[in-house]
Amino acid sequence: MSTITSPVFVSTVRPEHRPGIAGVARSEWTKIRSLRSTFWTFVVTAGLTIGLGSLFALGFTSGQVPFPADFNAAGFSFNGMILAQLAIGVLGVLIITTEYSSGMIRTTFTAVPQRGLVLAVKAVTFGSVTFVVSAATTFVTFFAAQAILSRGTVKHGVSLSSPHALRIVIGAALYLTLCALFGVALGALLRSTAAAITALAGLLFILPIVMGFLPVSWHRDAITRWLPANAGAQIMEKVTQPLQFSPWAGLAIFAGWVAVAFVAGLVLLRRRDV
Amino acid sequence: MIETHELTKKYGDTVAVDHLTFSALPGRVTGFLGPNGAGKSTTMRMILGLDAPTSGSVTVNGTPYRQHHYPLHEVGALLEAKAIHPGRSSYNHLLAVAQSNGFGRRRVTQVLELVGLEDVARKRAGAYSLGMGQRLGIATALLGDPGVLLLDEPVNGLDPEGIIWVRNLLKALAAEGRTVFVSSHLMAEMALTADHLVVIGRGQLIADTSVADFVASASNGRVRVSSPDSPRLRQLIAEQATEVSPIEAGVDGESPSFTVSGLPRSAIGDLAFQQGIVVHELTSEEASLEDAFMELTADDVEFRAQDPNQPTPVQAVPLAATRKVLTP
Repeated sequence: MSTITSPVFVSTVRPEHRPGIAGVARSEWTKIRSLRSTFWTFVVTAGLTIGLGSLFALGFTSGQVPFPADFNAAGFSFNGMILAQLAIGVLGVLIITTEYSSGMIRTTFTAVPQRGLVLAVKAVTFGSVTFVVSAATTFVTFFAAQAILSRGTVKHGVSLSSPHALRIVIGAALYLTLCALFGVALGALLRSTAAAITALAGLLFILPIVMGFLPVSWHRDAITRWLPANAGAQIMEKVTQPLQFSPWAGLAIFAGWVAVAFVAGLVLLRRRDV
Repeated sequence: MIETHELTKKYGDTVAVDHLTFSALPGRVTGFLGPNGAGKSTTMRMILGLDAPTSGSVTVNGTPYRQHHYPLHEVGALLEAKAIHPGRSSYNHLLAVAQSNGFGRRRVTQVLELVGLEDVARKRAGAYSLGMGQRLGIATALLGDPGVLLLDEPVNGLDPEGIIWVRNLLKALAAEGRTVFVSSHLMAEMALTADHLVVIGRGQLIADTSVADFVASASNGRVRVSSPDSPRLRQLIAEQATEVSPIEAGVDGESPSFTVSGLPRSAIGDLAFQQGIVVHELTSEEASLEDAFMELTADDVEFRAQDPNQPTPVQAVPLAATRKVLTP
């Protein structure tokens, strides 16, 4: 119809960096750091872990309850994580579901159509940041709680060089990181904030409680040890408890849960319309 | 260039996009027109690889979108205004999008200035008006300085000044040789902005034609003639014209008038002059794009206008032009 006489378009704008995975990581880091809610959730997670850990240590030392012979002083530092794990897990959920609720996900996938790459880089970036924050938190928690446990005449606190202590402190940080990644995986799988948070709280928090009330004769303990939080928490045990997995095996099982949710999320992400 | 071939999207039994074949060529603004629910946004999402077609194919610059790597330099898109986390500033939003494709802060600053958002760039986007959201969406689309632009309803929520700005921007971008594909349900806006139209209704192609041809096809070349001696002139014209309307009485002392089809104004004027008949008015009755659009999308029958075996009043006119465009 109309003859096209207009010039052939040549862009004069050049990228500053060669496009690649590093750029996608920079992009995801910008998304993480540019939200105040990210910062505050990290503060809440650290605050709950350090604060409740210290508070429980204080309560324990002030009581009349005699310390058990095999008292796990290092692991005792991390009782506050029962709430902190949910805070960091919810942040993991929000990292991806807010992209869906705002419509940003379409811009993200228009800019980088390789959806699996985006999800993987998002998880690695957020996981790395979470591990750094978590490790700082668990070390502070350990020293604070041990200082409190060492008060008085009977010193129950342990040092970092005591058997298993370093493994427990780093393991606690890994546990928090897995909770965060579990949130990301469930968020990618379910896309809705409410659904993903419900699933996360159900799997980490509610299911262990419900299962705890089942009759022992139903092979309760053989089943509950496979639950993500139960298996993962073994990394904070000094000695392997009866009917439980060893520390690293338990953590690996939790990682397996996260991996399964992640792969399911990845497969659906590539197939579904956004 | 954007090319779709027999593009189809079904949701269960509902057909959202139905065997849609068209091209958006570089160097012009292609208006993608259709009533709400016609399948425009679904088509846009399929072009961008966000939704998978049920059948058919679509390519951008010859490649299916999801096979593009870091395509912001090639394709820019605005799908919805304010598709941004309400807690994030537009600067950081643009920076995140830019970084994913290797662009940096300098380019972010450039596009913010281009759309006039530099003063509010550090404010949280949750407080933005719809118009500011549209400007941010356009900034996002322009980040990679792409040769292909897709914009879904970019003037929604803009004030008159903003509408004119978008109109001029789109024309300027097309004049640089870019492919500009812009959807709208505002026919009047498209008449001013677009060079070419792809019109759909209920997911099917209704017309693929230039704006001028589209309007002409609807107005059908009608001429309004007004004369104090209308009855005699009408009789003379009726011998040569294909269709002549009944005479309407003049309002406010004006002469009675009637319309003529199939005879140009010049012929009517010559005829009146030869016969010594005074003529007070001789005007082409141009339908607006809106009229043309309403006529085309009026009812179900006309949705099937592209079927050559289905004689409908609409089919005869615009689609002859359509076919030429389909095979460029």
